Amino acid sequence: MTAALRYEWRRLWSIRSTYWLIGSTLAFQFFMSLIIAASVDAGDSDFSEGQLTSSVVSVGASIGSLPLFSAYIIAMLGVFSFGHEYRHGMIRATLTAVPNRGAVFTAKVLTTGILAAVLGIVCALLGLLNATMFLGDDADTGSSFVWKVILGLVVYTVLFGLFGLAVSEILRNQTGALALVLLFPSVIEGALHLLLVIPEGEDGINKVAKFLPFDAGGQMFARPLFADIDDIFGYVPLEPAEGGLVLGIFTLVLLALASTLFVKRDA
Amino acid sequence: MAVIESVGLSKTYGSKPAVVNLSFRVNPGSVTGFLGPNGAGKSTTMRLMVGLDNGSGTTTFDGMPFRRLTHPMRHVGVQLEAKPFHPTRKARNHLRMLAGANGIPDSRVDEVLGLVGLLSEAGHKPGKFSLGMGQRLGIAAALLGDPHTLILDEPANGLDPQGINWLRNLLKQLASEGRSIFVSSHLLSEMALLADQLVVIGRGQLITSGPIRDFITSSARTSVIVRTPDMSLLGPALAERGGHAIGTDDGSFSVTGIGQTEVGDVAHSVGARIHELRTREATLEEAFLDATGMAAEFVAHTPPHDAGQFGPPGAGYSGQPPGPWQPPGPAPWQPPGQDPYGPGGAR
Repeated sequence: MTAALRYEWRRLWSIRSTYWLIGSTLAFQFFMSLIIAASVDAGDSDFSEGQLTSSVVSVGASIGSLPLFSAYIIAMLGVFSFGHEYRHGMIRATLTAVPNRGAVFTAKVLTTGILAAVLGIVCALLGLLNATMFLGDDADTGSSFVWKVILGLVVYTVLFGLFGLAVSEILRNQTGALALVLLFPSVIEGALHLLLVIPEGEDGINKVAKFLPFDAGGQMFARPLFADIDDIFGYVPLEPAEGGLVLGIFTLVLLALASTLFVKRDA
Repeated sequence: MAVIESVGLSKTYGSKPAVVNLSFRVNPGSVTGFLGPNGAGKSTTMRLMVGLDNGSGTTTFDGMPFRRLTHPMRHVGVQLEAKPFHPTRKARNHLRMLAGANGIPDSRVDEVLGLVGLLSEAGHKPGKFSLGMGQRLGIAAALLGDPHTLILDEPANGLDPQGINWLRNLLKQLASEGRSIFVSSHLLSEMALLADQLVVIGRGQLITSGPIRDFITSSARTSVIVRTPDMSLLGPALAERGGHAIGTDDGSFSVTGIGQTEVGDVAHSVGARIHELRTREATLEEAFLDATGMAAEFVAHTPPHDAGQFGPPGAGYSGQPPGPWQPPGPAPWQPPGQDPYGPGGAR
C-alpha cells in the first residue's frame, strides 16, 4: 500500500495539469469571492449575515444562483487520475511497478479525496478572508451557519472529485469522462430535474427529483434566500445531511463498480 | 536464480482464442527469443505473464507469480509498449515515479539513463522523443531495479543499427551475468545473432522451444548440396537411406534427410562422381517460415508462377517444396509424383 501511495504521490506532482488545475482553482476562488465581497452591500440587503458570507465563500453557489465552479475544476483532478493512465498507456507501466490493483485503486481514491478536501478547505479560507476584508463585522465568520455551509462545500467537493475518478475508470476514456463529469451535475441533472418536476405537478414523480445525486448533494451547502420556484410544484428538497447521504451513496456505488472493473479487466 | 516457468497460459478474446495452453520455461544465463507471426499471441502471452491480462494458467519467477512480488521491478524488468509514459512527464521524473514505488534509490535513475544513453534527455519531455529514444526510456525503466529477469516486447523496434548493436551487446552481457532474458522480435536476423534459446508460437500455440541451433539444423531447409553428373546412380541410393534430393537452379542438388558424411559414403558405395559436397544451413528466417507457415494468423497468398522455384521443370528430382517444419528427426523421402502441391505450385 505504501508503494502504491508513493507512486501515486509522485505521479500527481510530476505532471503539469496538477499544477494548473490547482492554480486555476485557487485563483478563480480568490478573485471571484473578492469581486462578490466587494460588490455586495451588507447594510442594504435582505440576506442574513450568514447567508451573505456563505455566498461569498461559495461564490454564489450557496444561494442557488450558480454551480460550485471550484468543485468542477477539482473533479477534473479525479478524472485525470485514471484518465491519464488510459490515454497514454501508462496503466501498463503502473501495474508492472505496482501489481496490486486494489492498492493502486485505493491509493488513487485516497490522494484524490485528500487533495480535494485540502483544496476545498483552502478555497473556503480564501472566501472567508475576502468576506472579512470587505464585510468587516458583518462577515459573521464565527456562526455555525457559515461553518455548516463550509463543511457541506468540502464534502461535496470531495465526493465530486471521487465521482470523476470512478467515471474515468468505468469509461477508460479521458475525454468522454471529462464531458460526462462536467455535464452530468449541471446539464444532465438539470434537464432531468425539469422533466421530472414541472410537468408532473404536485403529485407523483417529482418526489424522485430530489434524489438526483448532485441535486441532493448540493443541499449540503444550499441556503437559498427565497423559496425556490420548484416549491410551487411541490418540490421539497432533502435536508443537508440527507442530501449528502444520497450523493455519498451514489459515489460509493460508482466507486465499487469502478474498483471491481479495475481488478477484473485487462489492463 | 531467475527461472521463468509458464504453465498452461490461455486467453480468449470473446470466442477467439489468443493463447492456447502455452507452457514454456526460460532459464537463467540465456537470451530466449520469442518468435511468432503477427497475431500469434506474443504480446498477449507477455501480458499474461505479468498479470496485466486476466486469463488462465500461471507464470512464476523463481516460484513466485508476478502479482505477489513485493517491489516487482527489482525482480522482473518489463517493457511491453513502445511508449509507456506520459508525454509531458520528464524522463527523469517518470523513472523516479517507478523507482519510488519499488524502493529503488533515486540515484539509480540517472545511472540507468546513462546506461541507455539518455542522460542528456533526462530533463526533457518524452512526448518529443523519437521511437528509438522512447524504446531506450522503456529499457531504462526495465533495468531500473537491476532485475534478474527481463521481459521485453520488440525492444529493437525503432532503434537504429547502432542502437540494435548496443541492445544486442547489453542483453548478451546481462545474460552472461546469469540473468534470464525473454525477448520477442520479428527481426529474425537480429534474433539469430542474439538468442541462445527459442520459444516459437503460432496461433497462440507452442510450435517448438529449445536451443536455437537445434531449431535451425532440424529445419527441412538445412540441406547437403551435391554436385554430381551421376544423379541417376546417387538419387535412388540416397532415397533408400531416407534422403530426398531436389534439383536447384545451378544444376546442383539439394539433399535433405541425411547428413553430409552419409551422402559422401553413399556416393562412394555406388560409384557416383562428386564434384562438390557441402552443407548449407537454413537461416533462422527459413526455419521460422517453415515452422510457422501453416500457423500464420494472416496468410497472404502469392499467385502461382510457372518457373519452378525448386528447379527447372523436368529435372529428375525437382518440384517438392519443403513441407511444414517437423519435430527433430529425419524427414521421410517422398518419391516424386506424390507431391500434393504439384511442381512449383503455390501453397
